[in-house]
Amino acid sequence: MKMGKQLCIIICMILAIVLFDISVFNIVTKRYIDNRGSEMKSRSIEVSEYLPFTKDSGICHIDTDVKLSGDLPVLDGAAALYPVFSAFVDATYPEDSVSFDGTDFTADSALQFHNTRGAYQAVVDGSADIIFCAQPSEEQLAYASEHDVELTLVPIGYEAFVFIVGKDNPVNDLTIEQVQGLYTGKYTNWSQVGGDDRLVDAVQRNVGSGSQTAMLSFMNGQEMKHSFFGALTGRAIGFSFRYYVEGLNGNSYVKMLALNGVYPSEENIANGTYPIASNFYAVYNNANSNPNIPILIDFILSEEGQAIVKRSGYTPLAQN
Amino acid sequence: MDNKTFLKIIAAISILGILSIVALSIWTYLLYTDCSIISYIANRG
Repeated sequence: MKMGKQLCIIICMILAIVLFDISVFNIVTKRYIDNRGSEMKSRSIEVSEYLPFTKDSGICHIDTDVKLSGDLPVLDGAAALYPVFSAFVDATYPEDSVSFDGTDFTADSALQFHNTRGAYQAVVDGSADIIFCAQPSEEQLAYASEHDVELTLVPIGYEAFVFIVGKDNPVNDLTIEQVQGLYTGKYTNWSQVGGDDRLVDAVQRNVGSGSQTAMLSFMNGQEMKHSFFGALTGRAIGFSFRYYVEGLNGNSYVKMLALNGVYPSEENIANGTYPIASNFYAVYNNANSNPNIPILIDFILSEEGQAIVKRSGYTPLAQN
Repeated sequence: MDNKTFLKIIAAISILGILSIVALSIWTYLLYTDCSIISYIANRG
């Protein structure tokens, strides 16, 4: 065989192997580098499992004399709270007010689901009348202000903000200072906080999501960093609201951490020993004159409404 | 280059290629659990 042909075969073989390796490496590492990319996207909640007026729905059903009619407020909100506001609709709205096409709610439905970011936008733009979310982010408040909208936030219950790691992570308990240190980059290896010798991958969420806003508040102005090598090979830590991890969208690979020695159980949230329980809110435009808004808010704050909050897995106002 | 040397080079490249693919596959397998955790953590809520 001629020398030129031989060299050509050798170069082609090397190129083929390198390209194959790069492809595999890209598939492996893409999840780390872009962990919210299209491959990793998963629907945060299966809406059809928590529909109102449905026999096998996962929401709680209660009987009440409060029945709304006329101009029904359109409800929207966060994924973690969707079963709660779906249950409010189930209790107080007429059955024909909700329309679901098998994938999403139709435009004329009084119940909608666009998650925290979409919901805050909807209540400002007027396509939703009441939304159910954690506190708004600075950007969401600025968006409301730009549109001359004053938001009213009515606390309707409590929920714990929790930190989650893989079940195979030997760490079960961290202090608030340690968690903040994992996110600021002060601690880059789990061995520095009692774990094994693995890098830390401190995962954050989308800007404007309820839990990301809560995390910014938790960090109290400290800048969060994300390590490339941690993201590539490290053990992850993330954050969420307790009910989302515990009940709504549990994952057998993930566990919640105790904070300052207190596990985020329903009991510890109710008795106030878990250090970071916070309110979640019914939010509406102060200028919205829909007469059903105060009626629905009164119902939510009543014994029956708070029973829905409790039976949905959250801590009602009176218990905290 | 004689044929014998050429075949040796081809064999060496093939072995290195197979080894690198096996190593990447093992790494992928070892990281699989972490990936599902990160996916959950990053996408929830």
